[in-house]
Amino acid sequence: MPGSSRTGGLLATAVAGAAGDEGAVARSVIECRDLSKTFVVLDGQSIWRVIFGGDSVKGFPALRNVTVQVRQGEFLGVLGRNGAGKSTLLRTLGGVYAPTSGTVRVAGLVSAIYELGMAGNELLTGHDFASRWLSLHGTGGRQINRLLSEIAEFAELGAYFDNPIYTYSAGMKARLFFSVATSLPGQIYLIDEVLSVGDEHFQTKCWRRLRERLAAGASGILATHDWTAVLKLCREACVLERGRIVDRGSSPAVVQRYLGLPQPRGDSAAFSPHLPSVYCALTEEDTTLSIPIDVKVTSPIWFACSVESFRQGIGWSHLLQVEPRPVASTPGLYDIQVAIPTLPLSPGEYSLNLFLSERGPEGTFVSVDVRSWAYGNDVALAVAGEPRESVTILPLRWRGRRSLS
Amino acid sequence: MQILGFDRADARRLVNFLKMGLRDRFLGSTLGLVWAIANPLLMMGIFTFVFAFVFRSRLPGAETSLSFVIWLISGYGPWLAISDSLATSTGAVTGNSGLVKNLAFKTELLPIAGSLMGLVPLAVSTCYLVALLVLSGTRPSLSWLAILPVLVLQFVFITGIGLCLAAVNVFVRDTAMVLPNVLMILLFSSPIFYPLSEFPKAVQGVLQFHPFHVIAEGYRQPLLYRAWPAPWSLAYLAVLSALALFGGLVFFRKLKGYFDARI
Repeated sequence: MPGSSRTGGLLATAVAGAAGDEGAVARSVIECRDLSKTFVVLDGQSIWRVIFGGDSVKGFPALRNVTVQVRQGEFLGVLGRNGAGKSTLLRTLGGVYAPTSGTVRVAGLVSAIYELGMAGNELLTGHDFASRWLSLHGTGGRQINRLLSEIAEFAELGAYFDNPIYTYSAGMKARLFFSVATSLPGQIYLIDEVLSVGDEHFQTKCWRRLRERLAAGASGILATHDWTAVLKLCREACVLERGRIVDRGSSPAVVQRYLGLPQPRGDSAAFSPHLPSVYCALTEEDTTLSIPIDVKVTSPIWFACSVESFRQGIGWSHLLQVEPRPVASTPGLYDIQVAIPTLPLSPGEYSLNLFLSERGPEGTFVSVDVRSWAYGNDVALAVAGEPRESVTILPLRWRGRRSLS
Repeated sequence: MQILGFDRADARRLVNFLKMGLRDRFLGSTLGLVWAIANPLLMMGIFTFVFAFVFRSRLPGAETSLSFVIWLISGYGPWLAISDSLATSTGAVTGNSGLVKNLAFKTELLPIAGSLMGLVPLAVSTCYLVALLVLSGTRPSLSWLAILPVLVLQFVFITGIGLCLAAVNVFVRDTAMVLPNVLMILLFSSPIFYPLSEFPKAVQGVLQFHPFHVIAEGYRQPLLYRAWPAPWSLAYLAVLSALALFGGLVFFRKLKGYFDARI
């Protein structure tokens, strides 16, 4: 793929870096610094200036000073509207476009899905397209046959796999292309706007495959305007706007700002400024979380909270939840004590989500202040202790028993 | 190890592109690859029929018209390869925009593979020619191998020109439209269809340096007259080829940074 010298040089630096950091931080596999990409604007005159090498030609800056880093095992979400430069960023990182200025380093083989358009002849059969793609990506001989049967199985094209691509529906093409482009395991994936293709069934499969690849150590970038995909797959995200990175941080926070969601203002009640940003607890110990709030009105204020965790490729899941209950109804400072006997969480970092609300006119709850990953301002719950088999520790026991029949 | 900026992986990819090009050209036709051989063969057959039986053309001083056909095809075969190479390599980048946009690789490989596609008609015409020679009673000779250096130089030369044309064609798509006409003019302006001696004396001096004439003679001398091509002509061709390839690569590599504005 993109020049062995690129890859080779990078591996060397990455190894040196890892040795220096004692391997504490996962090495970065995709990195670009101050990356700019300018497309020349060609008209009747400038074309000849380009061909015969005259003075410089006017350009359109598609990327301006973009700096991005992705560590091994992580997916970075790149959000942005049409024309923001997402595809240009991916193609430049993938080595299809040469950067105008700045540096790009990618350590490892790149599998890229820049567009669902087939890079090839529609007269080819799905089988031939796949084998061509594989051999263009440097796969040879026996491995091709094994991968081809995997692709055929994953794409679920059945007998159509041996029919020309022009007989395929759009969904079938997408399935073929996704299957082929993700067939090589354990690499770097540059994915542009494709997780929204196919039917529900195939989307589920796509997600499962990405999860498997992630679990096997793959890394990558997901460029999309589908923020739900970013929330599911990426711990971190950034927003591109007219070629510039205008926002970056944890995915939920970035998405929240990207969507411009209104944030509760905390007029009638709010979490106190003394609310810690991290709570610490021990696995299977009785735990009490003390949450300071400031109530400003004379009306019932309801409190709810949840403990959630993020897993790459799966998204957020609720682990513990407390339904809304009234905690105060007169102005003043309060401490809400959330007691969790024998904390059933294995060691790790969790997201503590806290909600203060009022009862609306129709009996609904109206948030007055929120600390949540969905707003990018959640509180961390750090749990220490001996590692356990599962995330939540429940008083369950199981054993296998031969059935009688 | 790198040669002219290409490494082993590029060589492997070049072979891939060659296979791809061959397949794609005849994709969808029932006979497929058979056409790669049938097309030039039919062309040679028509020429043989027309010039040997219809026009009964003769070379000055020759007894049979078959010898004219042999003379004609020994020059026209390489020409067919040249025009095939040039046409394929000119459209190689624009015609593979899907690859150029979605795969990180050295785009130079596309016109190079395109130019090498000319090997197929050349092989077919050479086999046809050898068959004709044997039929007309000529014994095969070792000197026939002298066409090999000419063949190599021809493809180096054409690859260089093809690289330039392919790069220009990205920006000025008219290149591919104009090319067949230019090729036609070149064909009739060079002593391929008529012997050099039929041209006016004044033009002959210039025409003998016509690269396509030099290439055609490089095939004719060994195959027809069992003679090595003139050393000066080989040297001349070698210099031209080196210049063309080097210039073509430099030109292409300079322009390919701008391809993304057009593809």
